[in-house]
Amino acid sequence: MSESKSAPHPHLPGGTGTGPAGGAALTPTTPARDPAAEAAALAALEAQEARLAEVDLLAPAAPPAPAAPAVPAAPASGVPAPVAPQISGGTKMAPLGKPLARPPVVAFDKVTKTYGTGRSAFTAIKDVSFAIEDYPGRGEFVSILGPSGCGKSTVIRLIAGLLPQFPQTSGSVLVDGKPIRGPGPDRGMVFQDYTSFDNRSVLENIAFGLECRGVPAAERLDRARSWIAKVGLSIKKDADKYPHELSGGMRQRVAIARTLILEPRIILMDEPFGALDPPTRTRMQDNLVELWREQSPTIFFITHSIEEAVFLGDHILLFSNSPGTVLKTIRVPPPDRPSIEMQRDPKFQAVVSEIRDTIDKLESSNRAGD
Amino acid sequence: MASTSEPAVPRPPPWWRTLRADPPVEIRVAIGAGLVAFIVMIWWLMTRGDAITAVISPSKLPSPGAVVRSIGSLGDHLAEGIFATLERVLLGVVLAAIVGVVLGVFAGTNRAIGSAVAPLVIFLRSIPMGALLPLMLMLFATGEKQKVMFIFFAIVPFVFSDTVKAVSLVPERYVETAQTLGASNRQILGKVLVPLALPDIVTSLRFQFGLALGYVMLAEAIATTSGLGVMLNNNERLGNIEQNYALLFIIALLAFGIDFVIRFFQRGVFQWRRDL
Repeated sequence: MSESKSAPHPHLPGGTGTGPAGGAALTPTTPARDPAAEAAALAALEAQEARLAEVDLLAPAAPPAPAAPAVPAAPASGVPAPVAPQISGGTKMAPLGKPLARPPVVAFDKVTKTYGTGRSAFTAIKDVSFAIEDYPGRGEFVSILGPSGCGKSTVIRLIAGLLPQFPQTSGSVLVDGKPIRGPGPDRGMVFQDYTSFDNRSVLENIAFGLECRGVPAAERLDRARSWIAKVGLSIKKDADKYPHELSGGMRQRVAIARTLILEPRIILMDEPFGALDPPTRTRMQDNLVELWREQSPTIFFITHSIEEAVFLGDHILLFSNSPGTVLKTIRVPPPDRPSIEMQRDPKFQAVVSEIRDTIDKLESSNRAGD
Repeated sequence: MASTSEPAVPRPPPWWRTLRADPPVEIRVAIGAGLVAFIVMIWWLMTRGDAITAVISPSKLPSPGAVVRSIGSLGDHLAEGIFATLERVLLGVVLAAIVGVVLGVFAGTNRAIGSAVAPLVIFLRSIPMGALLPLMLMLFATGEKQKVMFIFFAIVPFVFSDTVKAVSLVPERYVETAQTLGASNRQILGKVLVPLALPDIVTSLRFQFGLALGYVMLAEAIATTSGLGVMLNNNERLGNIEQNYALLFIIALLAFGIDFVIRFFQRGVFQWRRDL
């Protein structure tokens, strides 16, 4: 689990940039062409950071400094200076420490994607900048929230390296400080549409990635079998079923297992629970949190549901409508209880309402500006 | 009548008042068999009596009884003819499947190959089948090769196009999923595109097999010594019209039977496709 992994990582010297989107970490990624442009980029980042602080929901409505101690510290956290006070006590998730002195896991810098040219040109996202830092021992859970058609999928597909969103028209997208060349198993993806290979059984679907890597049949099927259980399916009953015999929730469980078995560093989820009924959805959320704790990848999770975003995320990227851009970056406490329980908590609901108000305010001011 | 004390449970409307509702299976079979019986009865009525008294002359339409009796007189020739014809069709279709499917898979995944082959395919698809026959005779004389090649050229462009279409119609999201799971292009081709397109390719081959059975009759009409087409032509010359009617029924049954068998195996092999 996360504690064991967290120890050996070096931390950022001097304790700079406790929040994400640390300007210092991003600057080297901008090719030093035009000093003026570089300065502008920096200014934009700083502005973003300032806004970030403004909507820091970590300590909602709490008295200034001594608020945090009211909450018992995370039981087994070897990580110094928890950034995120919990909504309530008893967390299982290690709080984020200081980001590592490494390039961010994912860094967008003034990324714009335009399709077509001239009059028919359409800009899906414009000047999107954010950075998701590399934290010791555990990846961040980033919820991407925004109206339909605001370019959320464009962001995720750019990270995945999938055409035609990839490559961006301008700006830089860096994963671990390196530009993306195309899709790869280090960035797993779970789509909203059901993508189980219809000609393969559940077991063969989950083993697909290992099969591509050349893992021998017996071994990969064994490992796939253990993943069937991990995502809450029955080894006995479901292993040999074909996708057409599965419900939507089961298909998404297969898709999650198929992605996680490869232990990707980044997992991209494009509204994976969007088509599921509410009870299935909350169960899937709990399952996802459990798996996230075990593997600690960095997860990008697109959703329309504010509740889902707040429950799952450490971090919410709030997108505006077309052309899509990051309106705000909001920090929220990580999940510490099952979804249903947590969503009943008045404090949780307060956070959700606050974000809803923020969205309403931003949208109305956006419309006024049109 | 229902007593007034019980609340009435509404009854579903009967099938004959429901749009697109299937009648019960017994009724469906009865309707189909009834129509066949009706046609046979009309046939029997029209051909009753001898050459002078029958409404339709036996030289045009023999009576049902005469047609059934003539099956017996076909004797060993029938099995021989079916075997010879099916052998040609099978060879032609297998050849067309190998060339058409392999080329089609490559053209479906690599659109440059597709563009290169497109003009040739359009040309071949546009030629009426019968127009190919004289050329086949000139190229391959009158042996078995001529008939097999005729079938091959007649159906290979369609097998090719259907294969291209089947590969193209595999939704892109499967390819993207495979890419994010680390599959190489070759692996995507072999593990995703071909397996998912295969049921539709087999369906195309099944249809083409049926059409090829029709084309081979045409080829067998010229300078051939065995086969169902030869038997039809000989009967025409000898005036055995009963045997010709009998042969037509046998050929129709044969075509239906082959289609049924292929579809049976197709459903067994591709159980994950429920729409076959």
